[in-house]
Amino acid sequence: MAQNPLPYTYYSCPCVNTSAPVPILAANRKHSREQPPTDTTEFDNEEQTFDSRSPRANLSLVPLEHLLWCTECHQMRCARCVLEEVQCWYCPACLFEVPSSTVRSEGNRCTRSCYNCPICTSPLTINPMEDPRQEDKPEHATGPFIMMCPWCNWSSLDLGIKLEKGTNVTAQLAKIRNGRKAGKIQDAEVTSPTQEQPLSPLAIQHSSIDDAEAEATSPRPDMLSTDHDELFTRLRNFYQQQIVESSEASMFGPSFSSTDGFSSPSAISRLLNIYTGKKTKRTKPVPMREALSPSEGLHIHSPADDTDSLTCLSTTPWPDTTTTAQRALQPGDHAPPFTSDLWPIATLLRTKRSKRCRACRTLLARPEARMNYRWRIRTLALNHMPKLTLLPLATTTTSSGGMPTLGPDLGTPAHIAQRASLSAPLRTGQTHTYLLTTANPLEDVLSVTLATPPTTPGRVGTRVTILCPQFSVGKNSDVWDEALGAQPAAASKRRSGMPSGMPTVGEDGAQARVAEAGKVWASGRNWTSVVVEVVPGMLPEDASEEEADLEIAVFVRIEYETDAAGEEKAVAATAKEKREEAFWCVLGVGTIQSTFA
Amino acid sequence: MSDPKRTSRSAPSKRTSLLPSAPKPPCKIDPAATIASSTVLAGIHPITIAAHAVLHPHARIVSAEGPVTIGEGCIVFEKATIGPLAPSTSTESATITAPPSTILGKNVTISTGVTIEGCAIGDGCVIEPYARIGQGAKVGRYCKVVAYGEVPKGAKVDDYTVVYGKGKRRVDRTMKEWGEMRELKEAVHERQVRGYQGLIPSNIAKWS
Amino acid sequence: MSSSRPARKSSKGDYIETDSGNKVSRKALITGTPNITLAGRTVLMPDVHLRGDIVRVRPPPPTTTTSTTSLDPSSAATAKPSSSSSSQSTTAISIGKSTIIATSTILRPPARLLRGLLQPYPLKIGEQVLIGPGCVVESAQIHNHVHVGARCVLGAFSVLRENCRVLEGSCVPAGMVVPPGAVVAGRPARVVGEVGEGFGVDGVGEGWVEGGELREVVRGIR
Repeated sequence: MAQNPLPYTYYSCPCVNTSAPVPILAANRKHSREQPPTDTTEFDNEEQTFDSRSPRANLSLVPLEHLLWCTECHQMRCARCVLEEVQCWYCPACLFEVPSSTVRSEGNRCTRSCYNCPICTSPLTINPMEDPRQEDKPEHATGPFIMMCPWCNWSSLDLGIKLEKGTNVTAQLAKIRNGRKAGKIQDAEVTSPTQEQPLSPLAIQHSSIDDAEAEATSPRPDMLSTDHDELFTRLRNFYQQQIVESSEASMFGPSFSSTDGFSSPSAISRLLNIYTGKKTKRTKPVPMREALSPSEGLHIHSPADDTDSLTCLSTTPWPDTTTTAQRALQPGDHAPPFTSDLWPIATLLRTKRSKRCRACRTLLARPEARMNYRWRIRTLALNHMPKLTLLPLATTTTSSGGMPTLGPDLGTPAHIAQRASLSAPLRTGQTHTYLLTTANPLEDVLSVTLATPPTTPGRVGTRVTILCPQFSVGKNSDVWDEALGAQPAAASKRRSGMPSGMPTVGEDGAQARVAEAGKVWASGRNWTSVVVEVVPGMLPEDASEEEADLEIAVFVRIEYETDAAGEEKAVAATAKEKREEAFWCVLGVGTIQSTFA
Repeated sequence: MSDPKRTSRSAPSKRTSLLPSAPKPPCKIDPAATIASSTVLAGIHPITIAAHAVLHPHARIVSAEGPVTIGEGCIVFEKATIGPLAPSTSTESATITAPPSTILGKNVTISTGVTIEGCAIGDGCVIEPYARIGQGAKVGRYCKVVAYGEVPKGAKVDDYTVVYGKGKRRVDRTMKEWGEMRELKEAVHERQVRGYQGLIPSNIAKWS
Repeated sequence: MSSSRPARKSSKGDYIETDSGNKVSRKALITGTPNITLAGRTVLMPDVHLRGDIVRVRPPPPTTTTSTTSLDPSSAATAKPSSSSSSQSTTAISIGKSTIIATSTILRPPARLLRGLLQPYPLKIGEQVLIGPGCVVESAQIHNHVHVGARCVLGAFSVLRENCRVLEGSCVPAGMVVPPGAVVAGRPARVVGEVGEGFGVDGVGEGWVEGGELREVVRGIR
């Protein structure tokens, strides 16, 4: 998540107090010693103030658009409190949906033609190498193709690779790579030492006839490839054989597998043999040994293999060597030291995931299966929780009577000035006034109580005062309902008729109004603004940047009456249910500047 | 100010110059060059524009501090500024240095918003949007500077170098080692020039 | 401009407003106006460059006697403006409803060589798109509800799918496809995350949410 520009509001998910990212329901809260803030009914009981700087808080502060709402638990859910299930896999470059079976077998990368540059990770384009001056060309380009990076100008010609076709690049690259490996093997065969004895100095001579026969029939060591995959296969086969040999005697023999149980044929025959008293040849179990020769998968690294690379390294200029990051992205175990050997990187697939509440497993969000941004199910916190916005009083226009909002930055001088004033540093000791707007998405009147510690925790004690901590916010009724006067809105001081959002640029009109304690500044159909006064504290001389950023933690408690959630129940019997929710949120205000700076 | 009632796209739009009181510089413009009507040529030093150069609308060639030479086949996109706008702050005291000349080689592509100040750019270079090439820099042939890239003042960029990030440079081996790729690039560039020449009505008379 | 003849609603103010609600700044720098389509309630802010002149020129219908080839600069100046009203008109830039192109942005249709000729392709921008100030847009297509930050460079033939977000100052390399709902940043741009599930959703009916409806913002621009 990118840091939002100032001013920002982060909400603290209830999972902040739990170590495991599962918000424990009230019923299960036997062992937890901590009282979560959502459970308090009286504000006075609130034992801890929320410290937005604590490491725990860092993980639970989420902007509103990233929060989901669990209708069963009546709580918000952040990314930590959510179980994700993969809905579909797709390649971000070709947007091609890959079935999960293909992902399991072929891996989580695009197997078509989507590659990224190994130098700068930009997506590569596949271009034909043909003269553009030909005007009478066939429809589809036939010339050899190369992969080119539009950013850093890397191309597959750096590896000497030209492709025959423009599609299905993966298969072509695989063929080229295997071809090169085969070439390397042939070179290795020439240089590997010819030995007939086992290479390992720990070799134990076997007297068994079987072993001697095996040695005689196995290919000569110098003919075997030192290719990584083949070495692995030989070593694995060797170890499997060892397991067989070393545990032959036990009743649960090598053929014993968890699926067979006691009914495997060899186990049955062995059991029968025991009962019939037949003497079976008992060979002493041979202890497992290590691989001794190249046929068994042993490969001793000889220093001679490295001399070539070392001489190259000492003569190659630094920019032509690869960074760790570049090597890490290379496929398989290909870790070339030189940039001229970097291989293009197949694009990693991405997923569309559906999200469930961890506690009660209700589906919170489910995207559509196709490649678009549509949702089958989506319960958002911003449709169930009030939205708090903090704006400097000076930059908001209250004359138009609309909700103070910050429009997008459109680059006009007014916008630039507004953004500059928003990010202007706050002076210690000076009173800054802000407008805290609470907007209500619910269709019930909210009664809101705000609380904030009088000074912010930490070394920089900023004094924060909310002038009107308790107020109501109107319900998010339809415009027509209000116009027809069907339901009375919130009992607030003033109501504006127009529900539309208002511009907020410039227009510093006559702010002759003085903020009064206990009174709401402005309100509208479904929003209310109150004034917050902030006096930044003194920055100690060695204050870190983090300490200079001013964040105000506000505890919000809302109470409302809603119709009991009864889709099954009859509409006539609307039992009004009193609901109450509470959460912490953190308002990012700005940076404090020390007056001595 | 564009008049919406005009539907013909061939009529030049009347627009006040971005540098309102700029004098008309001494220009030597090849008739085969294409200069859009709203391109701005300003300054006091001579400006030379070779054949088949294409200057897009609202490009700015500023010879206030020194002469500007634009080579054959160069394409300069919108809002690019060729030539330093301000006198260089030299730490040497009171020496009269030669006016910094800006030279673009053949087939150079200067993208939107690029600032080129008093330096030499080699043939076949591609400078992407909003890059800045400082004064006195020397950029070699077939180089590339990515978007928002910077070549500091006085820096030297060797031939076939790509400046692709902050402090990141690499040698473009494709261009360096494959002559056929260089030829292809030249061919592509030539066709681009031809295409733009067909699309942008030229108004050389305004400046000569 | 839009195909209907634009009527001036208000002669004062910085914007010319057409009858379909498009607001074009008087200081916008637009070339090739017949090839630009504005769907309605769009805003082109000051110093926006729209290159409607970079357009694929269809060969003229066989009935015209004047031989005009697309590559001849002198004849292009005398070409009949019939292309604007006939069905041969080609669109260089089309901008969807309620889209805002902020100050100093440049929209240029991407072009590539096809059969030896430089062929421009149309630049299509969808609805509810906000392109921040100072951007360079050479994409092939930008889908709906995309938020592009300030000073971004979108390379030639890039595609921004719906609901994606390009962070400030990022440079999308040529040809890159940004998947729906992705957040890209950096130079060159990479996918760094995904937009929240609530991207563009306005729960409380306020003026503007990132990625959300731009109608109110458009209304507020004067």
